[in-house]
Amino acid sequence: MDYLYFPGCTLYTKAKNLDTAARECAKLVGLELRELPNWTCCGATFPLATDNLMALLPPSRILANAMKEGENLTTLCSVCFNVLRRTLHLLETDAEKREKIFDFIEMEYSDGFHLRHYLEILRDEIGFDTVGEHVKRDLKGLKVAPFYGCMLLRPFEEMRFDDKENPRIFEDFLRSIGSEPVDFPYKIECCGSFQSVGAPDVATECGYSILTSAMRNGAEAVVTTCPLCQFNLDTKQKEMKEKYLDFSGIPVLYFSQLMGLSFDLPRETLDFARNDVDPLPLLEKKGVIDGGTDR
Amino acid sequence: MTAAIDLGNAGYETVLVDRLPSIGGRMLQLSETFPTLDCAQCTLTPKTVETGQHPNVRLRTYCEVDKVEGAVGHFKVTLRQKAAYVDWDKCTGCGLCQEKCPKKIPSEFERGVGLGKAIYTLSPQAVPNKPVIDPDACRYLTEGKCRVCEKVCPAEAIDYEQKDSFLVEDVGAIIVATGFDLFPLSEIGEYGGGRIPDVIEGLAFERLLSASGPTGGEVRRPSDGQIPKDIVFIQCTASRDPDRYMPYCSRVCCMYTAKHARLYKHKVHDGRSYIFYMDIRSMGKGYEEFVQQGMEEDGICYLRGRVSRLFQDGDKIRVWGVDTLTGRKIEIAADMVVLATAITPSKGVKALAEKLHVVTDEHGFLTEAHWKTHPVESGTEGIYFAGCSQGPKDIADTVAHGSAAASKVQALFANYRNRASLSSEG
Repeated sequence: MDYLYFPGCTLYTKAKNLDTAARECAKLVGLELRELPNWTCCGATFPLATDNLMALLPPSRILANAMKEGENLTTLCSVCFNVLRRTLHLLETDAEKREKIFDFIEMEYSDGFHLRHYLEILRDEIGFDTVGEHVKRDLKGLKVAPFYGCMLLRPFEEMRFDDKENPRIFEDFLRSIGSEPVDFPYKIECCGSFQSVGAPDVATECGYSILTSAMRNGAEAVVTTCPLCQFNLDTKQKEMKEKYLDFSGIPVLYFSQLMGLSFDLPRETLDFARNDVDPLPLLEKKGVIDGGTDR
Repeated sequence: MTAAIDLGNAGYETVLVDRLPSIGGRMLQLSETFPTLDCAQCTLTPKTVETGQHPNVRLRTYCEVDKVEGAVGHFKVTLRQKAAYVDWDKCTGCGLCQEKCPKKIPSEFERGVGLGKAIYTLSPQAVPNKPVIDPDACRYLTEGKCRVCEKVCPAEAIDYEQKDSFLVEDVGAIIVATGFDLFPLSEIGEYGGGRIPDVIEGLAFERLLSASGPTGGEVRRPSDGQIPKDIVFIQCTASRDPDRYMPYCSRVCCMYTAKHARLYKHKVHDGRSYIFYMDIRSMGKGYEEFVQQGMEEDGICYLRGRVSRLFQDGDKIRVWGVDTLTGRKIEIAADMVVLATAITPSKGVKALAEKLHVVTDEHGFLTEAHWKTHPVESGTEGIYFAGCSQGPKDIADTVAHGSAAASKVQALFANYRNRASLSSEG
């Protein structure tokens, strides 16, 4: 299975741990990822004004580039995925805007282009059963709360990722790699997003509500697929602990790291050092990894 | 029923077809009615009895319309009489079979908050008071076991060999009064998708309030049978919501939600009710006063705003809404949530409309010949509409609508009679 791959800005820097683990796992399950040449930033938000065509240029150019290079494109970051999928939906449905944009960027549009999130490929094209076959390390039924956030799911008519009120794709994935998914009501709530820059206290509250909800429902770890969610849930735990003195904290991982762990990839690939809340003590305690010699 | 009684009183032979085993429709499921809080059954049963005993009205219950042929003046309607597995000529209505039947199933009549038996009448006051056996639930009909009802029946009325049969009625006119159903909770994901036991629809709450309901009139949570102390009522659930649900207003929910909150308060004195609303549509006689009384005397807390989401949180249901009049977000930890779901046409109306060659609108309601001047005519001569089949309305309006349909039939028949007598004279 061949897919062009759009990393997005953070995947090679702050979110390298999401990227590396995902690529290595992809190789194992038969997903060939070919990095899109000359990729640029996706723009990070889909424009709120419907006539703001300038803001659609970066994602349109990325899609046009991908259309030139192949038939399909995948990405890992929820935000990039949201922007690209909504842009593609607009290009597919609004002929007038499509013509204006593509005239401006002087590129060709191709029909029938496929854009899919990595998890969608696992679910629909590779199959979670096949994913399960590659599991070599027992995750000992680790209780993991999948955090969807909002970008993957909304707006529903354009994203069509999963049921927007009660999605199951992440849970099915977690089960296939040997962990036990934990359902919790905050799994589709916003992590605070860019408020971590503009109104950091608001974002701290969002993250705190999400993590405590997961913990109340028995989660031992949380997984995400978005560098921004990861920042708000992982890195900002420092602020949460300062505000809520009894907050014990919880490891937050990228789903690809957990997947790579279950596939028994080498430790450097999983890059746990980049996670601000260290997951190793939890993994050791659960017997998923051996404290001493297991490297 | 109103139309049948009117026509019967006018001297015309009338056939009342109902696909349920007994007549009375939705009102039978209600506890009390607004704005007087009269008992629904006390108001309704004189009418059901009058209909059942009227010399000019013939009841064809537990029947479905199979075919409609002909035209005004001589319609030939083929009815499928569904197998009741009970000989209604022999049955005396003693009720022993229902009492002794061992099989309990979720009852459609109880709207998910109560169980019924495999052999049942819809209510203690059913007209006709003859039970039917649900062939998908009956232990004998599905597994070959039991036969308790047959054993205990003093009239030997149980007949497991009964089959569906067909009968034909020749009529001059048809009135379609197929009533309504409610928008399913399973499609409202943000309010639990039907998966939270203590989040129920308005009609289910009626059953809890009803003295002849599954809890004997005590308001108890379906999950643990406890009496809820904080109830959130949400108006306009799937109504007035063009993005994903029904764009129209369901007309009765503002009133019945006020009624629910008031009745709840009368039963649970230390209970607190919160109603999330967009507007209050209380347009009938005594309606506005009823709502105001609810606020002033029964202490209902009305919150103008919508609920974005609710979810189970331990023992409670967390309701996230907004109070637009103070501009603040509201979070309520409720014991129970009652959703005033949108009124929809009854199931199967579209197919029936095709058989009758009448038009339904994009929501499935029967389309009247003119929005303003012909509220009960169908556009096809001889076929008329009555009640919620044409659109959501309350009981008073439904009765008026039914009488209007009957009056059209009477005019139609009188016209033909006059013309016939004129031609015979000339």
